[in-house]
Amino acid sequence: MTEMNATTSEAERPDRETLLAFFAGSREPVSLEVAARLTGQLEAELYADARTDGRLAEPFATGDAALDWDEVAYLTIEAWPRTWLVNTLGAEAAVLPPYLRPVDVSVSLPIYVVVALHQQFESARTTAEARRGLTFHDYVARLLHLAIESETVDELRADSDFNEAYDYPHGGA
Amino acid sequence: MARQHKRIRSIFHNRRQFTRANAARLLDKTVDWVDKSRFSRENGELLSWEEMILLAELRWPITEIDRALGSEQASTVPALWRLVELSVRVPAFKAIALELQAQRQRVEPSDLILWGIDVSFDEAEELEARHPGMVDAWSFPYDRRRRGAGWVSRCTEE
Repeated sequence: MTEMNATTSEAERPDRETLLAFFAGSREPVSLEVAARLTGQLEAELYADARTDGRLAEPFATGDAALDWDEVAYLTIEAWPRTWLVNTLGAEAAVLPPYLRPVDVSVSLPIYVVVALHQQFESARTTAEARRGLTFHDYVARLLHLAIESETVDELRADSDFNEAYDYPHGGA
Repeated sequence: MARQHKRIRSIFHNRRQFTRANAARLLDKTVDWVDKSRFSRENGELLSWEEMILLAELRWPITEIDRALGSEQASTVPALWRLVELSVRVPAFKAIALELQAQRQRVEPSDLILWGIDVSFDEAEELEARHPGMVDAWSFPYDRRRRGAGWVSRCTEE
């Protein structure tokens, strides 16, 4: 029972100050400790993934491992429910591109598809994502990303706000 | 729009076979379009009602079909095939892209979302106990007994 609770309990979310200091700060490499606090992942997990993918940043002068800022930014915004992230940043949400903020979209779909979609969300969500509280909305947002064609992106490239959000965090500072 | 809705109702309400020319007229497309878009060419000169429903789904946005059928849907389509509004919160740039892409493809955002969702028969069958009618809705316009034969035929064709 204890073991089950350990795997299904909610992950500790970063507080507003930690998020603000990171997103509004200089884009310097990030220690594994801070990256773990921001992303809700274990330091060992982050280290192993980054090493496997060759994404480790230059080590600090102390020799400690570090991750690039944009790598941690990407993991952080994907880790948590987007609405929670924006609400937590509150008035300071401007540290993120404006078009990353969630908006309501209403669509009409057959009932059986909506039922199946909810089931697919429950099945596809990993234990780690469930612990971080990723929502049905976040799941649909990911599906939507796959549906966006390159022609559409090319056409929207003239909109700097779109560009900033689409490329974030890999675009300009 | 009224004429289009009348055509949709005519297709959905009257189970019958259609000549290629009549299918083209009702779908407001050319015979060539019908020939290229058909799902069951083995039916030859005549299109089955089921094939015609699939072409109608290809021809018009689902929301347009829903509007055309209106309150008469209960007697025409399975209960869980009917539309329900789904409200989701997604990043603004994705909402903007969805809107633009729908305009470019002359469909509605709902269609783009629908095309991106793949529901398998196994999923529908698994959900049937909790949501009676899933299999009927998934199988439409085929009924669940005939679905098997139709499915095999389509796979063989590919």
